[in-house]
Amino acid sequence: MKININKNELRKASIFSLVMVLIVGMGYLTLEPAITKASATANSSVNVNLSVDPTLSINTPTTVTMSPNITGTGTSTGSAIWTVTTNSASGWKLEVNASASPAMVSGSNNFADYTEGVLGTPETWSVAASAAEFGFTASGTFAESKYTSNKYQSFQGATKIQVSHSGTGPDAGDSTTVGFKAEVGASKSQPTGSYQAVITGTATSLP
Amino acid sequence: MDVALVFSLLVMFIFFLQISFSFWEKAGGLVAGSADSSIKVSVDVVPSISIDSPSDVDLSPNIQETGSATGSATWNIKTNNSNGWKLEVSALDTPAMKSGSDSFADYTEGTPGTPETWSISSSDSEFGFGASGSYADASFSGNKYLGFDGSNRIQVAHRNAQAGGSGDDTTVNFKAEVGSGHNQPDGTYSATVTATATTL
Repeated sequence: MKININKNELRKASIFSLVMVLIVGMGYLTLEPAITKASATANSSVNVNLSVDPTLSINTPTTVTMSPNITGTGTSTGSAIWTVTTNSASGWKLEVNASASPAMVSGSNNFADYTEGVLGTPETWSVAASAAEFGFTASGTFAESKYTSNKYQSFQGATKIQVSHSGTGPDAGDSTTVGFKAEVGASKSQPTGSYQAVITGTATSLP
Repeated sequence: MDVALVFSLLVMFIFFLQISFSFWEKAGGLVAGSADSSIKVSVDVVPSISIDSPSDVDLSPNIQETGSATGSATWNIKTNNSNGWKLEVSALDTPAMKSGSDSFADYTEGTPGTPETWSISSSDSEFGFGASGSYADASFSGNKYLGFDGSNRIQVAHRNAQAGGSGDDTTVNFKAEVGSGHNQPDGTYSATVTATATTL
């Protein structure tokens, strides 16, 4: 069998092969250092922790002088505003209580704590003609809804009664107004005197 | 047959001859009447780098309403790379310091990316970092701070030479502050910071 080889094609193929061998060889020689000396990395992580402690504060309102003075019979009102500031993310609650029972006293004389029809359920103010009573209500954005429409209830001595709350926080200063009311019934003879109730507002951050 | 063709064929012949010799040599190199046996012993020393794992950092003191808290972590780098190393830090989250849905903003320097003396607005709460040590980048000198940029690595130190025998230390200083007019939700905040050492 006779094979015809084109001389020019053989020469081109040979030169092409030579060029490819040289290109591959030179490429390897060029890249090899970079391949074997690629940069190395190492990682290390830490947790950085910080505690922001819960804080809560409440202002001290000025003493409340109810007005007008009661002359014989009639009513007198006043109010105090408590402002709660906290960084609690879950909010706060405000409760009030009295230092005495009944709350409003003058020596041995007193106003009875307001007697709502259902104990603990605020209601529209109403006092029997033969009674002298003292009670409170709450108002403001965060006041409990049970006090809406100017409804009143009685103090229960040292027992804390929640009057408002906020379920979110932090709060830079949320105010609640606690309104006080005293009345001497039309047929009641209330001893004269300067009556006083010490009311404490307690703010607590919610869990 | 012209000269080019002869030359090309000659080069290819030598190339394949070398390859054949290489295989033959590895196969034992048996030659009649000879008892020589040679081997090549070679070793590649490749660049390597390691970084230690410092313990977690509790910033102190706890912040009560307002104020600042600080802490630091020191990373030690060992490498045999004669060109040296660089150290970068990044944060897992954006912003870095979080507690549930609450967070400290990443420190906002006047010129982004340029460390500066710590200063935040009274209405803000922010968290940032600085770097110190022999190899800390000069931009952090003078107790200057920068904010994290999420997972983007920020170089804090480098050395253009092989690390010392016991390694090279770099301290990353962390700082958080609640401005006097800011009400930061209470909670335990945490930032996961990753340090990456790379050979140059």
